[in-house]
Amino acid sequence: MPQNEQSVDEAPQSTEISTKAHKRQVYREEQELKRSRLKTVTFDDKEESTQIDLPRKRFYRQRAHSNPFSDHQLEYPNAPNEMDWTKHYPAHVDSQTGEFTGKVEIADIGCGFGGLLVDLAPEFPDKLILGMEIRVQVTQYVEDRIIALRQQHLAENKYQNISVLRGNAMKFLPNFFYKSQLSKIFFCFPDPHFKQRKHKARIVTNTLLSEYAYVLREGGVVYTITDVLDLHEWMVEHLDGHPLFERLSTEWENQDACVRIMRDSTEEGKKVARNKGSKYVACYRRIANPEL
Amino acid sequence: MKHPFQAIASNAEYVFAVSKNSIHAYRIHSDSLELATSWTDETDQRTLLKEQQDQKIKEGNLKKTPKIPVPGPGAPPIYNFIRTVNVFERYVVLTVDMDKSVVVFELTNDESVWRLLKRQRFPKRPDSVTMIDDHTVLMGDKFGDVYAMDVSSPPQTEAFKPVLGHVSMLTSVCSATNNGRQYVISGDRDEHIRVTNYPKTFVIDKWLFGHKEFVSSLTVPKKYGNVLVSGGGDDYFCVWDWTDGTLKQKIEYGKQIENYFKEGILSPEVCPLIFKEGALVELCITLIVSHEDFLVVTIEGCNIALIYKFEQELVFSHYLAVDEPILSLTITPAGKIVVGTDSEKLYLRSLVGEDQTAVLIPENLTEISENSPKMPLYATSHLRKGAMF
Ligand SMILES: C[S@@+](CC[C@H](N)C(=O)[O-])C[C@H]1O[C@@H](n2cnc3c(N)ncnc32)[C@H](O)[C@@H]1O
Repeated sequence: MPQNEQSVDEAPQSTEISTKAHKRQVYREEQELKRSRLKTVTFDDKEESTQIDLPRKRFYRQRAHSNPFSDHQLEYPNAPNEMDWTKHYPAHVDSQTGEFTGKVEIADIGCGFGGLLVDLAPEFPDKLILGMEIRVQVTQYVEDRIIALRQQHLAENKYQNISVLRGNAMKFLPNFFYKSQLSKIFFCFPDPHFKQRKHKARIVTNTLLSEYAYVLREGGVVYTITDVLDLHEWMVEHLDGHPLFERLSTEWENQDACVRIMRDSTEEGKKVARNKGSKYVACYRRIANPEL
Repeated sequence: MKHPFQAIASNAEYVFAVSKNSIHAYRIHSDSLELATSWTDETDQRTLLKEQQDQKIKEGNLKKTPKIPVPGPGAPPIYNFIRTVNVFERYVVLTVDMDKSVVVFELTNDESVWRLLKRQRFPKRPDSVTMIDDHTVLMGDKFGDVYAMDVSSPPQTEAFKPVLGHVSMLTSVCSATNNGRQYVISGDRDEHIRVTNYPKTFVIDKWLFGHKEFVSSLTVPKKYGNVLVSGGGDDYFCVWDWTDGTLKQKIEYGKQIENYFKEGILSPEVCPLIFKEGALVELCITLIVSHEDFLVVTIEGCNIALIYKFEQELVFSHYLAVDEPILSLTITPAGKIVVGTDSEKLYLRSLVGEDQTAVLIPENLTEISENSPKMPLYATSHLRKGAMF
């Protein structure tokens, strides 16, 4: 694997830490402390609640790209039945048995800084939503953001239905989700990987679509949005060509709440809007398996 | 110095043994092998680079004619060797590293033994092959894609479309049927084993979760079509009913090897590679081969093959020891085991029964000079994450 694609957490320790990096480190250490104190805070701990600030993005900077083929030292369950979701959704745990009572149904793949999760949370209060992100610091930011939001809205018990985890969705989705578990999968402004040689690194490919179809239930929806026309055409070509997906109409897109949210709520989406860029949307329904 | 036999396969009549870039077909006798024919892959790197460049020039991708690059010092060596050999009914299928190709021979039933039917190049190194029906080879490559190739149609020059893919190195593919339906089972360098419908490969049937380390070998025994045996970097191997996804048994071969070491059956003198400071290193499985009720497992760097038997469940039967680490192993339809080791020898003995092991030293093994590289003979353990290549 090329050197420059090593992710930050694998990079060798540098003896000269720049002041900026130092500040980031100090900030993150403080956050880590807060996090460990607050991670398990649920509705019951209201008394102790202190106001906590939303995390600041600039302290979580990280190289823009991560190589989806490398090993990364990721943590992932051996199988979906070994996944412990209780830490992710502490409000959805049976207080008697300690068992997880919910089921993740919506996934935001490559969730970045988590804007979509935050806006989907009130839209689907009864559904559990998960962001999966490959970059460590970015994941950490989203985690801190969700902790802060839960804390700020303790009384209303809000944001208990969203969570994030670090993972490589191109390799390990089936380790987290059972067959037909999901009803919606989002791909918002995925990395474009412009070079021909890198097209296999794209998150939508023929072969990966079969994996997404596996975790998506019949009738479930794949949402895609991008500002890169070439990538949009690529995703459309591959989804059109996949026998388990069927494109949804513009009318459908126009009446769907998630399409509206997806257009405006993600950080990339906001950036594109500021730069007056175009946004291309394509949504597909998971159709039934054919007779085998 | 002679290059050992790094890969081997057989049918009722012949043993096909690969030494570096040559494959030899030996006629099987009761306690000997007789050379019938050989084929050597002469593709060399310079011709190959030249061809690739001519192609690019033809496509107009290059502005001027550049010099053919000479790999500088430190460049990873590309060995001209045959990586795998498999026999499927009438076909002998090889994978060749040099030009990343799959080579198919058709057996002729006469003195000529075989004829070269097809050589198909692929964009990435072919790592494992199976045949899904009597004319289709499925090939899994280093970058996780599986391609379907007809054995007799002329080689294809346009890009292949994968029939399925993993985002990980594919180490093993095999085909299986259940209730008249066909499936492809594929294993990769992450811990994944996937069962996919065929030919509708866009419908994934299931994943089989049970390994914590890479998977290197998969076998569906002919006689037990619902069973899948899988092994790799774990100190156990798995016995599955792949049709319903249940993990039937985890067999801890590592413990057994450990015991052989304690009992003095396994020694660091014979197997230096699996010892470090007098203790066994993490072991991994290189081959799982089945025949009738038996299943043979080989371990990288180890001179002992473990033999199991299907009864109510899979139980240990006995072991076979040779004088050097085992590199390749096949079982003939008549139940003879043929073993290639890190030496010039081939070993021949019955799977069961008390016969003596015949040790054969074929004459025409590939000569290599003292300092010319052998093919990397012990590469399976490199699949372990964090291992150095
Ligand atoms: C351009 S960003 C978009 C982020 C967010 N969806 C948005 O719209 O603001 C793409 C994100 O996908 C993440 N990513 C890329 N490959 C991934 C993979 N295989 N698994 C999980 N996340 C991935 C990247 O780290 C990056 O944060």
